[in-house]
Order: sequence, then C-alpha cells, then structure tokens
Amino acid sequence: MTEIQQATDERTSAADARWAGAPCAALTVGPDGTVLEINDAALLLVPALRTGAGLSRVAPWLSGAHPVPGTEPVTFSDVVDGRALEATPSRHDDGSVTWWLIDVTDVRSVRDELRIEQSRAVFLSDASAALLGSLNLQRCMEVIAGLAVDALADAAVVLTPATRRQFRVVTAVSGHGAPRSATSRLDPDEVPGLAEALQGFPPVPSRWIDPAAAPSWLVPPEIGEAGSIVVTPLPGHGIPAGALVLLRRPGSGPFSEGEESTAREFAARSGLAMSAARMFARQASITETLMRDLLPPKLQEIAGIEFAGGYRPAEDGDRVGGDFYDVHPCAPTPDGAAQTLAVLGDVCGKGLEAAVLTGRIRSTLHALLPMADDHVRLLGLLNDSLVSEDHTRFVTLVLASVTRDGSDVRLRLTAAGHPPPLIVRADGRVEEADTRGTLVGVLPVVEATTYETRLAPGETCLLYTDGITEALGGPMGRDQFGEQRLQRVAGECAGLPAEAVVERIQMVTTEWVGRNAHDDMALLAVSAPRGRHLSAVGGHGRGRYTA
Amino acid sequence: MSSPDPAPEWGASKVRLRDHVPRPGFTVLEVIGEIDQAEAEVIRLRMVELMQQPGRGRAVLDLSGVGFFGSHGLTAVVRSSRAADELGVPLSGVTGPANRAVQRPVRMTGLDQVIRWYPDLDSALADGLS
Repeated sequence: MTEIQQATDERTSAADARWAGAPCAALTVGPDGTVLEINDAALLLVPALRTGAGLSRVAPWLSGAHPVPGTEPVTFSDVVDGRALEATPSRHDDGSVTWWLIDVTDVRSVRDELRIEQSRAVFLSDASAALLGSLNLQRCMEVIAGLAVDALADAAVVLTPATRRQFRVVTAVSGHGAPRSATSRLDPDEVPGLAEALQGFPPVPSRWIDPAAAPSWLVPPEIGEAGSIVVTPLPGHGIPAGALVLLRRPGSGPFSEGEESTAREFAARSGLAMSAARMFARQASITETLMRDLLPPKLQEIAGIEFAGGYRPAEDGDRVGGDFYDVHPCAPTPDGAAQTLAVLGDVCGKGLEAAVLTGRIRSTLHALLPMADDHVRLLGLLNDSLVSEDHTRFVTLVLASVTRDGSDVRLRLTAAGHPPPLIVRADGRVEEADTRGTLVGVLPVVEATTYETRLAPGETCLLYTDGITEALGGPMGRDQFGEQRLQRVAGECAGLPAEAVVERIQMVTTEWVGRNAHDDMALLAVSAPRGRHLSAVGGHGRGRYTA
Repeated sequence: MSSPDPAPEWGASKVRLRDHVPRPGFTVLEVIGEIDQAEAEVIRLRMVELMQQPGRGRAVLDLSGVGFFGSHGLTAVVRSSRAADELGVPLSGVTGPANRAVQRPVRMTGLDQVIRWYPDLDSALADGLS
C-alpha cells in the first residue's frame, strides 16, 4: 500500500469516526432509498434504523419526504414514538441525501406552553377589564358567567347567597345568548365541593366530581349532560362572594390542570369584583337612607298658607349640600291661631361635609321649636351649640314665624347674617324685609332684629340663599345674578301661587347660570292664598271670595 | 423708610393675593378679585403662614380690591380670625373707602364684631400705631 493510499484511508477512517460521534443525528440515504450510513446520535433517536435497509421499512415517516431523482428535498417534521422530530436534507453529487434529525419535542412543548400562558394572560387581563366595568352585582355575575363560557367551559353557573336559604343563580351556555338569572332555594350539598366553595374553602379537583351525579338545577338543559365539572370558590373581601361552577359536555374532554388553575385565577378576580359590587350596593343603600334625612322636605299647604321650596346643590352629582329649608308646625299663638316656623339657612362649605352640619343644625332647630316665639332666644341657643363644638363652622339663616289671620298672613322675620327676605306685594312691588342679624356660630352672642309684616291674599314672602344672587352667568358668564335682578323676577311673579314663584325663579337662575359652576341655591316661598271665588246663588250677583 | 419689595402675587384664577410689609410690625395680605370656596381656603392658609412668620406684629386683611364678597368671603374672614386668635396675632380688615361689595355684607352679618374694620389701609396702619 502506498503512503498516499495509507494517508487517504487514515483520513477517511478519521472522518468516519467524527461522523459516527457527531452530536447531531444524521443518516445518509442512497438514490434508491437504501440507508447507507447512520451515526450514533441517529440510532439513539431512531433505534429502528439499519444500514443497507430500505428507508421505507426502517423509517416510513421519512421515506415520504425523501426525494425521488430530479426533485429537491425539503425540510420535514413528524412525531415518531412520541417525539417531535425535524429532518433537514443535504443533497450530494452522487445523488445521495443526508438527513439531519433534530429532536424538537421540548422546544415545541415550551412554545405550546408559552402560547397557552400568553392566551391565559390575555384572557385574565381582558376579564379584569370587563369585571371593572360594573358595580352592579347582577351585571357583574352576568359578566362572569359570560366570560367563563367564552373561554373556559360549555356552560357556567355563578351562585351567591341571596337570603339564608336562597341563592341568586346566573347561568350562561356557550352559543345560547345572554346569561339568565334566577333566585331559588337549592341545596349546595348536592354538588361535591359546592357547599365548601360557598364558604370559601379551596376547590376540590375536577376528577373528584362525578358529573352523572350533578343535580338537574345545575346542568343547563342546552348541554344535555355534563362530561366534567369544576367547582371553585369566588373569594371576596373578608367573606366569600359565592361560587363558580364550570361544565363541559362529554365530548369536550376533561379540564386540564392548567385550565383548572386558570379557572381559579379567574374566580379570584371575579370574587373581588362581586364583593366590590356588593359593598357598593350596601354603601349606596346606607347613603340613600342617610340622604333621605338630609334632603329638603316636600312642602305643602299648612293651615291654608302656601309653602313651596326649591333646592339645587352646587355639584350636579350631589343631592345635598350646605343650603337647607324646613317648615315646622309649632304650638299655637296665645290667641289660639295655628303657627308655623319656616327656616332657610346656608351652612358654610359645600357638599357632604356641609350637609352633615346642615343635618345637625336642622335637628337642633327642631329640638328648639318650643322657643319659636322668641327668634333671638332660639338663635342664641343654636349659636351656643355651634360655638362650643367647632370654631370654624357657622351658618346664616332666616326664621319666619307664619300665622293665619283671617284672609291675611302674619309674618315675623329674623335674619341672622343672611340676606333679608323679599316681600312681593299684589301690585308687583318688592320690599326688602328690614331685619338684620349676626352670623350664627361665630360670636359669643347673636344680635338680631325681628321684622313684622302682613301678607294680603296673593302676596308672597321669598326667603333665599346667596347662591342665587351670587350665581355667575349672563351673556359672558361673568355677571352675578344679583339682588336687583332677583327682585325684578320676583316682582313679575306677583299674584302667583308659592310653587309657581319658586319654579319661575329656579327656571330663570338655571338659564342664567347655564353650564357655569355655582354654589348651592335654595328658595322658600310663603304665600297668602288668593280667595276662591264663589258665584252667587242662581248665577246672579257679584258673588264673594272665601279665604 | 422704604418698604421692602412686595412678594410675588399668587393664588387662583378669580383672586390674586399679594402680601407686603408697608411698615415694620405690619403684615398685609391684599386680596384682589372675587372670593369663592377654593380661594377662601387659600386666603386662610396664606394668612396663617404670614401670621406665623417671626416678627409678625399685626396682620391686616385688605379687601379693598374685592369686587364680590359672599358667603365664601365670610368663611375666609371667620377662619382667618380664628387662626389669629389661636396665634395671638391682632388681625384687622380693610373694606375699601366706598366698596359696598364688602362693606354691606360685613355690616349685615356682624363681621364688624369679629374683627376691626377700616375704610382704607392708611387708617388701619395709623390706628395700629396709636
């Protein structure tokens, strides 16, 4: 053997050794489809491979991709014995092809898991956004059921306790329209894990629940029977919000561990949303109850005298504020005439804080009604109660003691730091009541003067807060409504009933303010009603007016 | 003696506040514009700040530049007066010589019994020295 021949053989055997030990699996197949070479890595990956054997016999999955002469080989992948393999070809000059095999099972698995995780994250993110959209418990439950059937199950049932034995139940079925609701008596013990879920205990695995044993009230008729069931608690703030039951048809396959985990995360978010909705409803109910006492009262005719009030809080969303009015029947006068105390006031500040103080002042005034005869004394006692408890809170107000005197109305008016009332006479003249007094709640002693007057039939006394005269508006939005404008509008209301006077002034000031911000505005009108005309008997004569 | 440069004006849209020391021992807060609820609180806070400064002497709330003085103006004065009492600082007010927008509500509500009022700044300063 020549030296050259020997060197060539050595190089070839060295190359063969490198080929055999290469970490990447490879096999070479001749033009006729016979396996020519296999390296160790290929044998490890596909133990059935044999040199000299036909590719179609030892690797049929690859023979379909192996090119016939004259065609180009292409990269190809398939699952072999549970492993995902990718085969990439290299063509040689002699017509043979080397296939490089790569096991991509783990890569694919990670990629699939990542895709599942991404879609799960998107679902939970979308669910959170949707759940934030409503603070109404019923709507919230419908959203939960709807989201669940969109992404997790064929049907979903959301349960929450309504009363001790009754449950509010919302059911949604995929492809069957909007969720439906019912409140019914049912026994949670009929479903394994449901009673526990409603108490906030961790969920039982889906495989522990026998779908065949599910009660009829749980399985919607649209899905026939349940193939698998997941029961998961809806945890709330402190106390459980309810439970979520997911159902799949028999053909849909069981819930995977990952799906159960997603269901638990979704349930956690859903429970918090339901809990927030329930807390909001409770707060709204409490607020409504408290608000009822703070709202101005509905006024009506008392002892033949017309009373009408109007109130517009500073913030459009508020229903209460710092302005208030009240009308209280009092003890009769010494001559036995029915007496009424009307009060209109303005507490410093705006919104709920002012409304709370307003409530306290109204309660105090109510307790002081036995002193209604003596306005200055009543104001002094109210002043004492305010001065002693808070040094920066004060109120301006007007007291009006109203008594019927035949067809007239007798008035005693006392203003304490407040704009004096207006008297609208029958002929359209407007007088300002001559009463002045100090703020209540600031000085140790309240000083005030009381003004007495009478209203003839059809005449009105108008009490108002400075929110009306100070309201900015007009053509440029910068002018105050002002006292003169108020007096002019009031004068135009001469002879109108109290309610019409209030409506007219409210309409004009609302137009004036437009969309501008404004302070609380309150009005109280007291009118001596016009006599009602009685025609003479038989239709003759002038007839007469009755008081 | 020349007075120090006035401090920069500050405040919100409807009202401008300017504090200055016209003579030693007097701090003046000048209010120009219309006082609404938000500004009432700004005025009180600024008054408290001025009254807490060392060597503060007397404080004057000058409302001669106020064109509209409603219930929120009352609030500003009452709260400033309370703060002055707590800090032991004499506080007086200026209505402006012919400023009915301030004079009338001050008289009507009894604010003239809460703090001492003067028609102009000079008379407030002169009375403070006597």
